[in-house]
Amino acid sequence: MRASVPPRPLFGVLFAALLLSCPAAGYAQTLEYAVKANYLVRFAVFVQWPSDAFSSAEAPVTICVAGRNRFGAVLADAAGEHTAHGRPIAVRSVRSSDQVSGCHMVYLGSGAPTELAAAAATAGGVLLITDQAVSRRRGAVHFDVSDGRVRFHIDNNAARRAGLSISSRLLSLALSVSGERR
Amino acid sequence: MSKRLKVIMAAVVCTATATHARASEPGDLTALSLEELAQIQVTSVARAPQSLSDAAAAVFVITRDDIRRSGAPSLPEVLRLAPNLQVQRVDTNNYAISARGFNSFETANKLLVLVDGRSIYSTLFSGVLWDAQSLLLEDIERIEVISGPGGSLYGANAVNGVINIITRTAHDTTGPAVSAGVGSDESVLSMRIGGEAANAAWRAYLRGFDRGESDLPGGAGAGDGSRGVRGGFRADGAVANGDTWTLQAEMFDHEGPAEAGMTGGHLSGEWRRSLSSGEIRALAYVDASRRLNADADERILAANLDIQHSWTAGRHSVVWGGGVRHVENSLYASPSAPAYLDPPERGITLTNVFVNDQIALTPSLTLTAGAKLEDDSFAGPELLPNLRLAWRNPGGHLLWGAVSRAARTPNRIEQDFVAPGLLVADDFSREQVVAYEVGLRTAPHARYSLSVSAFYNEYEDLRTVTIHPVTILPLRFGNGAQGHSYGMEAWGAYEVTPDWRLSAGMFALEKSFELKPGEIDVGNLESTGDDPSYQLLLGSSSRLTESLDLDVHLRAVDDLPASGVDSYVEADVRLGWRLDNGLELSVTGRNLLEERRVESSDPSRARAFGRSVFAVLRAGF
Repeated sequence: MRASVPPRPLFGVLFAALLLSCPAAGYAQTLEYAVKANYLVRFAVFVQWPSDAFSSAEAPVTICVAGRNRFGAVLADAAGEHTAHGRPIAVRSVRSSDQVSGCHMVYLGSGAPTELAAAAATAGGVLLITDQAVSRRRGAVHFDVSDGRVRFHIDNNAARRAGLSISSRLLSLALSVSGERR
Repeated sequence: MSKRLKVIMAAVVCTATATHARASEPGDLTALSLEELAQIQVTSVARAPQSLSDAAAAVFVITRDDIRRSGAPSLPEVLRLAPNLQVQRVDTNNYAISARGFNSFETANKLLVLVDGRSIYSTLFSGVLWDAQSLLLEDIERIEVISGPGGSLYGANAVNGVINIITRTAHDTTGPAVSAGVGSDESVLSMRIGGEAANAAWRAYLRGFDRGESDLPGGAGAGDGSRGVRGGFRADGAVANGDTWTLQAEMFDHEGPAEAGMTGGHLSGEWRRSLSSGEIRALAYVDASRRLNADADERILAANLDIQHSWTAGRHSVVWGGGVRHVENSLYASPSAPAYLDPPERGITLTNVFVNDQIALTPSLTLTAGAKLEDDSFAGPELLPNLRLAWRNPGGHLLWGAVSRAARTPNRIEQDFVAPGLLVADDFSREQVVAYEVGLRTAPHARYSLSVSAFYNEYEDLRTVTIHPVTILPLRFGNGAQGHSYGMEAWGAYEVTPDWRLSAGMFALEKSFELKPGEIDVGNLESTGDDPSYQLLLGSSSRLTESLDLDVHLRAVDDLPASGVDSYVEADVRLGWRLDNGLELSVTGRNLLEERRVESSDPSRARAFGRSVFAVLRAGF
């Protein structure tokens, strides 16, 4: 299932003006989070969940954003463009640890409660994604910026403890892989 | 100019709050693959997330992981992974590599090869001297192989293809690393150290190799073993105003058969500045080398400057710029040599200005119009236009087509060659092609990928060896041949399970060349190459256990019709054992199916090769 592409009536004529008025720092940061959002959606494809992680054959892969959501509409738009394992990709926000149930991936944004982070780290079938730009805490996947590019570290032991299998293609792109590579 | 293709702007629009962004065509992030996402510069303004999946051209990418898992000991062997390249090993040190035909050691002259933007084809014969390219394979980030004319975005000699080698930034290579390979044909030792300072990172590296001799077709040793060392340095950094820079230096010293030797090096610097809606970059380098053998002493000193400016405005993404390259070349033949160059010393200047405009006609339809004006010391100015159209269907698949004109600049041999009484160079001019291409590339997908392209090339003014109108001898070079070639290339991959990936690739090629009316070619159209009509590659890449990798590569190559070199099927198998994080032991068997085989059609240089085994222990890479 694909989300409809939002109309882009202003692109073209106003685009140049918008870009020129856009503060440089804002642009770079926006692009950084746009890249991270697209990574999150790709991760859904390159990670295998146990079949009991889904309530039904049609259930979506659910990406949960804990704490501050800096992705804006980009994450939902990117999710709408893709499917993973034949399932649609859904995005929702979570505010407390009891909302983690039903999440397949949890991204820890700034201000996420500690108990939520702990719950996501120990829950089965949940890929915890942390971000160097947010905190030092490390999940199975940890975003980092290296040489101006968004990359990530992978803790494969953490992923395996959660019952997840990470594709070799994703592992080969990681800045570092700790634990067994399978 | 290695990154010109990468300059399509990321059209990311920010609103007043700067927290809400939406990607728009072209360069929509949602169409990018994982690998492409990993290449996007996010710290500078409007740096281009160029998507290879958006490029209206036949591009095959060899990744760092592909290189590692190929178990290949040298760069030309790595290039065998590209289905759109023909790779022929000629002897221990020399290769003939081409795209879309014209292959053989002396006629593979229509390819542009870049290492971090530095052009490495030889102005002596327009080919690449692969025996001098002992690159440190472990620090190559990726290799983009484009078959077809490079269009306005690449420099001189991009007639039938471009090989774009991109090494890793120093920020990614800050640790110590060592790789030691020992094999029946070749031994290699590579070492690297690196570090990081406040706003910069650096690495220094050293690589040595020792290659055994090949066999004469009859079975006796050919005595063409070689050894060499290459050392270099790379630093990347940023300055306070946000500009970034790269500085590289390298030196090599190779010793070949019969005391032949080559030494050389280069110094290269690149500067990049981000503007509010674009970027300016400048690349400058100096290249020096010397080759010395029993017949000749050749020296090259080349200086190169490339500048380009890219920006987006409205629906336009424009790149324009120019470059100048000056080569001081001297070749002194020994008195006993059968031929020499006259004059022995020559300065060659190549200049170009180009403009390339990528226009988003609609969100899914992109038109690229470009032109390059090329000028050189031998053939005068020439305008090379190209037009490309790409349509992304709602499912994300890309359908593209292109028409482009390309030309090959004459080289020194074609201008200055003298074999007394037999052959003198005359007024040889450019070889030219008009290329028509169409292609299809599937949307990025985790499990599968597929790319198909077809081409029809019309060639004019191809090189011939013709007679003197009155005296017959001495013979001379002419532009007396013409013709066309057509064919297709396809490749794809399928991930059966997360631990098992299958890949396949092929090309098929048909050629039809003839003499122009009234022309004579003593060489019998030799300059059009001796090419297989097909090549088929199959690969399997799997993880057997938690620490064991198994990679199998099969290739089938048709016979070479002009010389009668047989068709062949070969297999390479690599078993890799990851002992611990960063430490890896691998054993690769290469050319396992046939005991001994000649691959090249070159009558005097062709040597035979057989099975080989190569074991590598690496740590840190």
